[in-house]
Amino acid sequence: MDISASERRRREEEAHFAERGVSLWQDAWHRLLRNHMAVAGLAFVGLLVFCFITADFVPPYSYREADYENTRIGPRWPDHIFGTDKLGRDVFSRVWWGTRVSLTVAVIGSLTSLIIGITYGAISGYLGGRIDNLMMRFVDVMYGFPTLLFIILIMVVLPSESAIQGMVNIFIAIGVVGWMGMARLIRGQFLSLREKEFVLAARMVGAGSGRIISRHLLPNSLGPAIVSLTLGIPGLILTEATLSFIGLGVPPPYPSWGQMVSEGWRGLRATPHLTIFPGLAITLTMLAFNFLGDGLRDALDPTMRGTALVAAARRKKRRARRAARKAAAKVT
Amino acid sequence: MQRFILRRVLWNIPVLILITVVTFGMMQIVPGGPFTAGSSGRPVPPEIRANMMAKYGLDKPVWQQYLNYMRRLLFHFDFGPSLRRPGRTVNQMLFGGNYLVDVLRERLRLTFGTAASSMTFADPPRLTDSSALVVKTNGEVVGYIAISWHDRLEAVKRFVTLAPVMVSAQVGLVSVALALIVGIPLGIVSALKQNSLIDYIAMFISMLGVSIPNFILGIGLILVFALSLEWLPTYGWGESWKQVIMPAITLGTAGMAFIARLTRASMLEVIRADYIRTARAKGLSERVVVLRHALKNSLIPVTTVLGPMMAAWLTGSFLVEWVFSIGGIGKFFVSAVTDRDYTLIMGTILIYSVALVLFNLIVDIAYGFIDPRIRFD
Repeated sequence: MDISASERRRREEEAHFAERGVSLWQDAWHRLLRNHMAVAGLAFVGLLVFCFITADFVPPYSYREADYENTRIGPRWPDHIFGTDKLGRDVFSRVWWGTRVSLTVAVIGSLTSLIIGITYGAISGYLGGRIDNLMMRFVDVMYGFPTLLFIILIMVVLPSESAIQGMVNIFIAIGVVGWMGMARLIRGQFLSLREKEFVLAARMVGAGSGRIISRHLLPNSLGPAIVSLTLGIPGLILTEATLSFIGLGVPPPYPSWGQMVSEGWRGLRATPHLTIFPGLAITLTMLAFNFLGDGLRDALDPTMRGTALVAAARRKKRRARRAARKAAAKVT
Repeated sequence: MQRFILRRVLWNIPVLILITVVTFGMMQIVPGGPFTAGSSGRPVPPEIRANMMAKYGLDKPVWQQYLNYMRRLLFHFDFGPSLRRPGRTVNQMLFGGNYLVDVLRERLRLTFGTAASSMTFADPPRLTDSSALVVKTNGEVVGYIAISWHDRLEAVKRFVTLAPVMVSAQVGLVSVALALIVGIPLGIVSALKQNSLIDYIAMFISMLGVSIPNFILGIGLILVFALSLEWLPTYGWGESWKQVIMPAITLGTAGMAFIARLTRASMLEVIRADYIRTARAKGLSERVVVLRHALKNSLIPVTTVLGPMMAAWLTGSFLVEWVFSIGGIGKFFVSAVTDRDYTLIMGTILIYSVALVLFNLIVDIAYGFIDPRIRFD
């Protein structure tokens, strides 16, 4: 063999990229689509988003509508397909409504931890040295700290005039707890990136710190940040469900899956459907986000870059060659 | 090696002090106090509240309260009285009662019969005492009761089996053992058979294990194995081996799944290393290559996560103890905070952070044995 397989692959890749510009994101998207579990996860997340948007008009009942003639009935076709709870509220509609809480905590929690984490990590990583050391020691101490006390503290410190605002405060508090991981990640990225030649080049042509951070360092650390964010979403949803389960989360009557399980599991023997359906909803949602995050990580892994499209192109070429051979065989 | 351990221990002291300072400060910042509402939930009149605050020294400046607390803790190992449960100390709630008293009482009962119920000890007996002075409740001296090695052993035995902190540790230990015993082999097998059906199934199961919240898993297990099949009891700990199964699975599954994924990832990396190729080229059997050469190095990331995991699990899981009605200390992590029971908050956090520091230290030392490339300097 005159050239190694990896060398040939590299050339192929180069030729491919020269032929048709493929951005990192395009390439990652293609690779994501090949991962069946990630696609299934994405589809389920899509379903959740659909439920989130349509909760006001598609489910047959509202989350607080009580049917006093049919309390605690098991699943029944067609009016209460998941059954009803002790007040006669429709479990199916409430589970549907529950997506509002879970997706909101995913978005607000992620944004909170992203904003705090990026700011903290960027400062720490960009400055480096003694300040970096000190800031990271602080993160270490925060890790050893009881989450619950922290969440309660933030919840009471933030102003809450209405029920909705109180709920948003819970979500922010959940996000604040998760910032440490993000800060560590961004800091690590910055530490390694700021020594790279392109940063030196930018500095040489006169770019200031602000420009270097926003145009060079941040965009380059976004990939890992997005992966970590997606992988962090199940944790946020779990924290909310756990808080609601122990009665510190979303206040009734607004339905959250954790709170529904908490109301239902005392009557597990007589009315298991009150626990099973919301429990299933949490588990499936976590599973979907986990598979999606896993797929994203594989897709965005820079060492894998280009392999999906190149492999597809190679397959196409091989198929064409085989077809040509067959055609040639027919002619003779 | 010894210097390394010493330095790590010393380095952890300021960390622990900082955690106690921050916790103490944060408790005071959080609105509401232990006496803002009575046991019935009604607000307590301000005069009574002021009296209660004064009784527990909460009217003093915060720094003075902190120093008093730390002095009692360090010199007398006294976590203080519980602020929400009258007559109970945090020591009792975390470490159980004085088990030596129970043992000696039983011996008194054997000698004196029902008359023993009116007898107490002049001073609470300790393990280091050779005898204890027995008095009647009216102050009349009965005599000395000798403390034998058998009594001491019995007291220790009761502490290990019954004390809340030990109950939590037992639950945690069984769960960690389960996570390791199932997780590591699962990870190895799916790494060795990468992209096979076994790999896919194992990884799907572990993804499920990571995804299912442990309280839901616990409730699900109760529903299937306790209520439907009636094989296992729904609650309790320490009375029968059947009570161990469901809590251990509930707490251990997430860690098991995590360890399986971690082992698989690092095994995949290690198995492609040059020294593994060398080992194969020498003609070693596959079993020796995997178990003697690859496994050790692939366990390093597992060891890393084991520190925080053991700390969190051995100090009790609130959810598991709640769902299965287990009398450990996990429940205090939530109830102390919601009750604003300041001394109990400090007690639980101290136990957790000491455990965290301790297990991280053990992990650091364990590195040296697993990976000789890591030096202690």
